[in-house]
Parts: sequence; C-alpha cells; structure tokens
Amino acid sequence: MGEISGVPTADLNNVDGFFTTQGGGGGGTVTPTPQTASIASTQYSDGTLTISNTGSYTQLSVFCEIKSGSTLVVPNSSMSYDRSNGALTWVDTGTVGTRTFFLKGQDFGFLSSSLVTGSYNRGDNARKYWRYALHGTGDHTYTRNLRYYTELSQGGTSYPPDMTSATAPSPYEATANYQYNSSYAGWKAFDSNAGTGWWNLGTHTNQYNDFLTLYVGTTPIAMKSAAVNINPSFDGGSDLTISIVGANDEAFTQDVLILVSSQSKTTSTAELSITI
Amino acid sequence: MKEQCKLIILSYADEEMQRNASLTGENKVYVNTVLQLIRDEYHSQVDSGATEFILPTSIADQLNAMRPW
Repeated sequence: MGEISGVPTADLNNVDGFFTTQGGGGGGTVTPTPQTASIASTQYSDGTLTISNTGSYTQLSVFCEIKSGSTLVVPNSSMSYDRSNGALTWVDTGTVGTRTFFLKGQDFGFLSSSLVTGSYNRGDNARKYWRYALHGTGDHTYTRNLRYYTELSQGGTSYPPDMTSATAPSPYEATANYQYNSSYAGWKAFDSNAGTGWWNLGTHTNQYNDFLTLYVGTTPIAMKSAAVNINPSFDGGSDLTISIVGANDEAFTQDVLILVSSQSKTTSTAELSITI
Repeated sequence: MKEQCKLIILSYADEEMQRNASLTGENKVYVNTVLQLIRDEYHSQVDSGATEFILPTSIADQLNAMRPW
C-alpha cells in the first residue's frame, strides 16, 4: 500500500505521535528508526513487513510483535527477519480483523530505536480460485491426482469431490492452460483415478510452465494444504517446482494468496505433500 | 487388436530399447511416453468398441517429434 493511516510509509518520521521514543538512558547512541517500514494494507495468513532501509544498518536486530486489539497474535519469537532484504515475515493463524504491529530495531553497538507502529487488515484466506502451477525447464509432467484441504497436513475437508468432467459436479470447474489432449484434461487430476491425470506433454508456449485452476464456486473456501501425486515416469525433470496460489478472480489478480511458493518436488511440507 | 497395439509399440520402442531404458535409464522418458500414450489409446479404443487398433496421427506425430535419435 505504501502508506499507513494515509501517510506515506517512506516518511513515517513525520507522522505525529506515530513513534514512541525510548528512554535510552545511559548516554549511548540510539539506533536510527526503521523509518521506511512498509506493509500491504491487507495481509493474509503469511504476513510480510519490509524495512526497506535495512541496508543502512550494520547488524540490525529487530523486535516486532503483532496484536489484535490488546491480544498478542504473533509474538516476537515467531518473527523471521531477513537482513538481506529487510523482510519481516510471520504466520498469523488468527481470525480476520484489524492488526497492529509494534516494531523497533537495535543496531550493533547502539541503543534501541524508537518504536514504530502501524495497522493493517488481516484478510480471510478463503478464495474462489485455486491454482496448481508447475515451473520448470526440463520435461513434461503427468499429474495423476491433486486435492486441496481445509487444514494443514492434508487434514479437514478435501476439495474438490471426484470430478467427472471439467464442470462436474457443480459448482466445481477445472481449467488447465494447456493439456496434451482431452484424454489428459486438467479435471482428470481431480478424479481420484491414479490411471488418469493431467499431462502437459507436447510443444507449446512457455512449455513446462503450466497451471491447473480449480474454481470452487461463488462461496470462497480457505485451503491450507494440498496433496499431489505425480506419475514418476513423467515428473517434470529435476528442476520442477510447484506453487499453489489462491485468488478471487480467474485472472489471478484479485486477493492473490500464495499458499505454496515454488516448492521442490523432492520436499513435502504441511502445506504441500508430494508423492511421485 | 492387442497384437496390433503391441507391434506398434515395438515399432517405436523395440524390446532392446525398452530393456535399456529399464536397466540404465537410457531414453526412459521417451519409452515411457510410448507406452503411456499407446496403451491409453488402446484402452480408449477398446472401450469405444473398436475391433482394429489404429494409432491416431496426432500420437504418431508426437512420438516422432520426440524420438531421441
């Protein structure tokens, strides 16, 4: 968003009352405030806040916590800070609503900086469209089965139910940007039949970087994990990675939510289980 | 019909090639593609009541384009 409470985030020092200057008694030099903290207006379960002047510090240590009202939602101990790009990241498993972050830094040999606070909206993870995307250069991929789940580690309710065509059962719709032919259509990855699947064999534009989109209907559904079964004979080659992304429009421009980002097929996480 | 399918498979990937693919991995993706495409097509034609197996041009073109030699 580039601003908090209507004020550009690159200029937070000019916001009256935005900082709470620390006492700093002891005569040391105070760490310059991480004054270019920026955060998107809506964050989902995986949040990111960027301290874009992170490179100006020698070895910045960061304290950051997130509250919903007076309730601590994400403690400092659950924050990850990447000094190379200034990104603070966290996982917020709480309910939707307004969040406030409290951030301060301390550079090596300096006293703690002033406190920066800001607010954002913790949005709902539910989406109407979920996309399984392949990224690679090596070879084609035959995806035998794919399912999304409402809980981590392939728990909760699975979606979709067994599909019998690209648009059945209603309201589910499976659309692939490319398929070798109708025998290997995208919906066949949702039919629970290990003998069939979606296959991106054949020469085509942006070959091997294909995606299969599932529409779950007008009521968005929050998915937390997915399971994919890939034919070991056609596993996309050694550099294949997989992403799972949600959105509320078919073009994937609205409320984009990255559930899994370019995960190697040799690893499985709570978010994505891969069998080959 | 099954024999026709088998002969077509062997015309694209003979026994030696299939053996080498299995033992050494040589041309494995190609051999597996031959088997997958032609077997699937065979079952499709059987299900639709065909009595003679005919390889569709699209599959032949695909396999010819993928030939590793």
